[in-house]
Amino acid sequence: MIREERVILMTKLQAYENRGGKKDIRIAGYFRGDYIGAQILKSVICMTLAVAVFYAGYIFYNLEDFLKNMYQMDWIAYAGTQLTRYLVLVTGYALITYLVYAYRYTKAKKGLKNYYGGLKALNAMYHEEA
Amino acid sequence: MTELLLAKETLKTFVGRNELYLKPLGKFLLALLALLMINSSTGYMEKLNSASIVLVVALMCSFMPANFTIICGAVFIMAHFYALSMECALVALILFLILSLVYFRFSPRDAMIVLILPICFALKIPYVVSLCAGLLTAPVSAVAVACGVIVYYMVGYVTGNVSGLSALEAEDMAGRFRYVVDGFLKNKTMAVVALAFAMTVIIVYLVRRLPIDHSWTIAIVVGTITQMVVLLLGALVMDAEVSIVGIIIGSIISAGIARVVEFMMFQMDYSRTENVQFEDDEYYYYVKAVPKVILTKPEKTVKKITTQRKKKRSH
Repeated sequence: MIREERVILMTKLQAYENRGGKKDIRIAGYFRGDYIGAQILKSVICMTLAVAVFYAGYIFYNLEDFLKNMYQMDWIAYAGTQLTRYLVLVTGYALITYLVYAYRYTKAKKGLKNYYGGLKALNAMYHEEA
Repeated sequence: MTELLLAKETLKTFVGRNELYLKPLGKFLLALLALLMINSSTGYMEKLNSASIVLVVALMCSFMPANFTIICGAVFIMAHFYALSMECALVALILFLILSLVYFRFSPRDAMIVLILPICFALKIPYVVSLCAGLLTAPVSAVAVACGVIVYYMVGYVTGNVSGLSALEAEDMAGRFRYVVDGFLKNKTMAVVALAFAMTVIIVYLVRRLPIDHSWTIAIVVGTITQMVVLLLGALVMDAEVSIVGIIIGSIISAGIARVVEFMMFQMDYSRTENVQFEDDEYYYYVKAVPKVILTKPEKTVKKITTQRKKKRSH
């Protein structure tokens, strides 16, 4: 027999699963530290690639000056300055990544808690019927 | 109002019933419009201008995730620029790569704004994008809106300076590259518009989240005024080129469109229609859950019309 209450609960649970629940399940499958750490690593790689692309463009833009001053330049000081800038940029970006993904992890956990609560209620309904 | 709510109800039923077909159709039309606009504003590569290629790509976009349309748009722009000069294609490639690596990694859905904004620019109502982004998304979309402005002005600069670009020697690749980068990065109008749009997104978002009645409508009004003021002030202070009449008329039309969006999305959330299927031990369930729209029945007032007694006037 179809129980209206059960169908409503099942529909809600399935709708959550379709909307973003599957993603939440995937996120909650990780430990908090592992998930955020992996995202920070991805961000560092992306930022490094972006900096490389930007820097290639920057060198191409200043190609004449660059070639002209190539032999007079203090390469160690120059590399030090660029590296510092890169590190500041990457650290800032990693911090933003940490904040964003820590929030997403907490949100996913909260959503899943409600979802599992719903599943428990559904299970109880089945037991009640049996 | 009742008629409008009833029309909304009809529309909701229609969309709910035909969502399966309307979604790909919408994606197809968006992709078609975007590609046709890219071709009409650039169009340096003859092969891409062919209607059959545009139709095939738009058809592919209709069955692929939304971000595929954005990739196609970026590829079309770069291909057209490549046909014009390799340096332009290089600038576009660097810009798109940095945007996708740095920003769209966090919120890939916002990339759609970058596609829609140039279309609205062509229709002379770009202000609607910042208003709607503030109404429907998070304040971080301000970055996506600013990115959309940058992409639009980059394309606009290249297409508007073809003669200047071809006057430079073909061998001087770095010079041509510098010419393109300087041209669009030193564009004051672009800076003013990006700032105004980003500010509008944040202000509209903040106002619509306020716990006050009609917060969405107030947000639209405040956002429109802020946008106009920042654009006009920015144009004055930074000596940027903007059309004052265009800003005022465009902003008013955009506010009207944003009001329609508010009516559709806030009061009638047909986009939340859920199609789900599941099973238990005895049944398979195919459920379509459509959010309710509450229609208030108009109160009927009975007006009694009685014949007035004619007073006999004695003269």
